[in-house]
Amino acid sequence: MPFVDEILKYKSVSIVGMEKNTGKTECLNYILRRLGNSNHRLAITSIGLDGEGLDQVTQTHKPEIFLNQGDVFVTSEAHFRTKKLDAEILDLSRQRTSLGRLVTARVTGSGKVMISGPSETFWLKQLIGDMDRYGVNTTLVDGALSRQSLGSPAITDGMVLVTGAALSANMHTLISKTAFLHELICLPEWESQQNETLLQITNGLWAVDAKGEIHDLGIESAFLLESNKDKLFTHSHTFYVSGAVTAGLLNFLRMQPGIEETVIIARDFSRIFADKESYQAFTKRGGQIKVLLHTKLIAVCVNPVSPQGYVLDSKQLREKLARKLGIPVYDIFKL
Amino acid sequence: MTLANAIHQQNGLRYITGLLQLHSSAGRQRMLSQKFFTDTTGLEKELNLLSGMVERLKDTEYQGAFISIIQGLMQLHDIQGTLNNLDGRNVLDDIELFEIKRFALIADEIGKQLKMLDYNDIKLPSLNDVVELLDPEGNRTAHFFIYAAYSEKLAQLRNKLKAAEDPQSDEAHVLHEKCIELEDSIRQELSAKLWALHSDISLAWQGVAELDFIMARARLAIDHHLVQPKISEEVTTFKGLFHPQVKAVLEQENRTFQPWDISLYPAPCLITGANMAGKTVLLKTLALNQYLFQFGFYVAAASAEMVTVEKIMTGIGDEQSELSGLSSFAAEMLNIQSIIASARAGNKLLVLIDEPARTTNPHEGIAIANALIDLLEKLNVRSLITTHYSGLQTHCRKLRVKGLSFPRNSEPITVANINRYMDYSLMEHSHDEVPREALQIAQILDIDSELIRRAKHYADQNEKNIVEFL
Repeated sequence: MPFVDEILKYKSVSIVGMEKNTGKTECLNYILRRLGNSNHRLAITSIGLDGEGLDQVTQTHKPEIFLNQGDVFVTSEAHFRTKKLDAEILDLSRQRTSLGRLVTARVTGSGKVMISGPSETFWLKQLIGDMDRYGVNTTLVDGALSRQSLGSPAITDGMVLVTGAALSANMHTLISKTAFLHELICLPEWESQQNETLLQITNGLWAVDAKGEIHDLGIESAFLLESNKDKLFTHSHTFYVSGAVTAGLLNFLRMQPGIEETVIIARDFSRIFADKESYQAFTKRGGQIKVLLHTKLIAVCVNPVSPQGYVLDSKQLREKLARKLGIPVYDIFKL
Repeated sequence: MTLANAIHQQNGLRYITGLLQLHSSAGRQRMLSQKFFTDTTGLEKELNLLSGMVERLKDTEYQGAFISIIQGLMQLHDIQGTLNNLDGRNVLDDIELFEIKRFALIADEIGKQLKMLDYNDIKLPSLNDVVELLDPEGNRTAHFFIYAAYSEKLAQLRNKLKAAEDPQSDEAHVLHEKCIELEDSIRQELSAKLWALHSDISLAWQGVAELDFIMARARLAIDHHLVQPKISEEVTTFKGLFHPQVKAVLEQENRTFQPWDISLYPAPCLITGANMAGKTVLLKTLALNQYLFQFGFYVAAASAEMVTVEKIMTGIGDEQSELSGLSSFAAEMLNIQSIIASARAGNKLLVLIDEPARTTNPHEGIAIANALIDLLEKLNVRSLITTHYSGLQTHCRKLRVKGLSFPRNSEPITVANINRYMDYSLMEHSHDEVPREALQIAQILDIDSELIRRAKHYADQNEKNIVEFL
C-alpha cells in the first residue's frame, strides 16, 4: 500500500493539485478507499478558492468524493444538501463561506459528496483541532494552490502533491515546474519565538532584527519598494513578507548591497509567486527564503493523462521525477 | 424609537452599549430592538426586572449558575431563519432540524440553571417535547440525522441497502430511492409536529435573548457603578452625576472625575462658566443618562430621580450630520426651529443646547438667546442652556460652574494640571455677569503670547470705552 501507511502517521495531510484536472480527486479517492476498511478514523475537508465554488455548484462535473461509513467530513451547507450519502450532522459553523455555513457530519451510509471547506487558514486549523472530539486520527484536506486564495494547505502536517500532464504535456517542462515547486515546499522553517506573532500579521513588509524584534517598515507592499529604499535597511537584512513574495521583490533585493545576508521570511511556500529564474538569481547571490509554516512532503502523484487526451509515458515520467526530487512518485491510475 | 436608532445619534450611548457583555447574537438583536420607554408603568417594571438581576449577580451563591448560563448563551447560534421557516409551516431539512434540536438542548440547560436563580421574571418554556422528538435514540447529544428509530421500515431498507453487494446495482438504486422517499415523509411528520411546538420554541428563543440582555445590563450596572433611577413626576435630580466614558478616560490618566449635583425643573436653566469648565460634557452626560434611563438601564450617578420625557432634543454640536450645504448658523437655527415646533406641539421634552446663537455676531446672538429662553420658559420646557454671553436679561434659573481657583503656591497652571485647579461643581448664580476667563485659559493653553497681549489690549480698550460711555 504505497504512501498510505505514511499518511497514517500524520494528524493532517493536504492533497494539493498543481493544476486543475491533475487528478487530485482520484488521488483522494484512492487514499479513502485504501483506508476505508482500517480502524483509522478519517475526516475530510477542503481549502481553496473562496468563490470558486459558486461556479462549481452549477457545474455538474465537480468531482465528488466517495466516503465510507464512519468517515467524518466538513462541507458547506450548499454541498451538504446535494450529498448522495447518509450522514449524521455533528456541528454547524457560525461563520459563513460563500457557499454558506460549514456542516460537520459523520457518514452513516456510504456514498458520494462534494467537499468545500473554510476559506481561511486559521479556520482550517481550528477545524482540524476540533476533529479530536469526533475520534478522528487523520484529517485529509483537499487543497488548491492559488493566488486568490486566503487559505493555504501548508497548515497541515503533511502533504501529497499531485501533478500531471494537465500542467504541461511536455515532460521536460512538467518535471522542471514540479521540481521548482518541490524546492519551494522544501524551504526551511524560520525558527524563532516570534512565529505566532508573525503569523498574525496580514499586511506590509516587516524587518526582524538580530534580537528577533519585529519592526513595521511602513511599506504597504513590495510594489512600493523603490520609493521606500531608505527605510528598508534601517533594522536588518531579514524581512518578513506577510503577503506575496513576488519576482519584483526578489529582483530588487538582489541588486541591493547586503544581498549575501538577506533573508526573506514568507508565510509558507504557497505565498511565493516568483518565477524560477528570479528565485534562482536571488539565491545564487546569497539570498535566502525561509517559511513560517513548513509542511512535510509525503509523496508526489502523477497523472500522465492530460484533459485534452495527451498521454505521457507513465514509467518514464515517474522515474525521471523520482530521480530529480528524491522522493517516491506514483501514478494515480496504477496505484 | 429603538436603541438601534438612538445609538446612531448618540456617541455616549454607542460607548455604553459597546461595554455590554452580550454572549449571543439573540441577545444582541434583543438589545438593538429595545424600545424607548415613555410610559412610567412599563419603565418601572423594566427597571425592577433589572434590579432583581443585579441583586442575583452580586450574590456569590449564584455564581455557578451564572457561569453555566453564560456557557449556554455562548453556544447559541442564530436560528432566526429556521424559526421563520417553522413559522411559515415549511418542511425543515436536516440542517434546520439539527439547529432546532441543538437549540432545544441548550435552552433546556439554561432553563435548569435559571430555576436555580429563583428569577421568575423570565420564562423559558420547557422544550423537552422538542428534544424527545428529535432524539429518538435518547442520546441527549446535539447530533442529528433521520434516525432509523423513526421507522421500522426505514431500518429494514437501510439494512438491505448495506447488505447489497454492488452499491451501483439497479437494486441498490431502487432501495436508495425508497429510503429517500421514506426519509422525506419522516421530515414532513417531524416538521408538522414542530409546527405545533413553534410557539414554545419561539418563546424560548425570545427568553434566552431577554436573559442575555438583562444579564448584560446588570453586569454593566455593577461594573460601572451605575444606580437604579427612581421615577419622579416633576423634578429630575441627580446626585453625583458622571459621564462613564469621560470618567474612564480620566481614570486611565490617574485623574479623578468630579461629579455634579443638579436638578432640572420643567423650565429653562442657564449655565455659565469659564471655558474648559466642563459645560458641554455636562450637557452630553444629561442626554446620555436620559437615554439610559428610558431604555431601561441604570444611570451614571450616585443617586437619581428622573422624569420621563417623550423626546430628548439637543444642540451640542456633535449632531450626526449638520444639514449639508448650510452655514453653521443656518443649521443651528433649523435645529432650534425643530425644538420649538416640537415644544409647541405639546411634546414633553428634555432640551440641551450648548451656546445658542454662538455662530453669529454677539449683538444679535444675545438677542436670539434671550428670545429662545423666553420661549422655553413660556412653553415650560425642561431645558439646560450654556452660554458665554453676559447681559442675558432673562429671569430664568442660573447655575455657574465654579471654575478656576488659583493656587496659593506659585505652581503655574498648565494643561496637565488644570484639572486640579478647576472646580467643576455647580452653584446657583444670581446676577447675569459671566466669568471672563477666556484669556487666562488661552494663556494656560500656551497660545502665542503676542496674540494674548494684543487681545488683552483690545479687551482693556473696550472696557474703557464702556466706562467713558457710561
